[in-house]
Amino acid sequence: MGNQKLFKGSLQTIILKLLAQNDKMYGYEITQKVKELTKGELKITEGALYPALHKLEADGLLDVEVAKVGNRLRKYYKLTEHGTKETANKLEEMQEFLKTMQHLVNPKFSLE
Amino acid sequence: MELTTNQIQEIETYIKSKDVDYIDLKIEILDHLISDVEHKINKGFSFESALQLTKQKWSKHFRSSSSIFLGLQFSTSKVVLKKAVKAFRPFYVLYVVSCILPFVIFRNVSVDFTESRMSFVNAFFKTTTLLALLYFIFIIFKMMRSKEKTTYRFILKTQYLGISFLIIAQTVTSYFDKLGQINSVFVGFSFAGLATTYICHHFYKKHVLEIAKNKQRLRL
Repeated sequence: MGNQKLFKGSLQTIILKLLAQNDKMYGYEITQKVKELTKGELKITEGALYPALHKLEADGLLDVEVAKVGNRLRKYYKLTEHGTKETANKLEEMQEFLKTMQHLVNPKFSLE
Repeated sequence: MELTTNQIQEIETYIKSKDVDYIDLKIEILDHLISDVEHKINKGFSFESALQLTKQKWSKHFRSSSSIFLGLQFSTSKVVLKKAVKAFRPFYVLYVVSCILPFVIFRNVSVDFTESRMSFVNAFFKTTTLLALLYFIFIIFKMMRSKEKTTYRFILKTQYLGISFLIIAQTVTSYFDKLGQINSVFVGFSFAGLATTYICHHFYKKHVLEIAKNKQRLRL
């Protein structure tokens, strides 16, 4: 899917936004939530999701919590204080980017 | 429907066979696979079919791969390798620069050293590379005793050959040629050895930290 390439650069912002809305989430839940919200248009691959989560954790934006769920362990990710601030910045950057793209893709010409 | 302990054990054995049982990745990959299988069972598949479909989906991430960044002779599953390359990439620049820069600089710049300065430079390189060599051996020894697998341990394994730079540096009797000019090759070897020691120190610390973090999380 061609769209996947466009989404690739926004993966970290998508993860941060989801965590800002959901307190804490685990990997599989993130992939399913994105699939559901985008009606299957965007599928986060496992190969891209975990490196992105680990990078955000290493940068101090995410905190990790391990809990026993049923017969297995589950790793939950949640935003740190720094992560919450950074989410606002990243979303702002994303809005600016979308506005710029909108101007480029759909310029409104005026003859006045 | 939740999987039974035996079914989880079967998935755990599978990821172990695919070399994904690294403590910094195992918990979430195992949970992801289990969730995938459970999701399919809820849709009406049998455990065997659900597991088969999940294995197919993950096969590209579990394929044995190697990278030019870490040496093509070192292979592991793609998902581990991806994390390892990402962690190692910033150090690759340091590694290349430390190998090439001293060689280029001292080959093209002529500096005259007095006898006492020459002795100081020789003593400096001999001492620093000896200390680095001892520390390097300590890291290898500690890693050989460590039972835990982390992505950082895999990176360390790919760097052990760097010890040869330090051994070569120890065999050097003088870092100067007959004309009193600094020997760019020997200095290059020493810098490369020191850089590799620093890289190993970084990933050894990360390995120890990851084990401690994992133990703490499991205790909570």
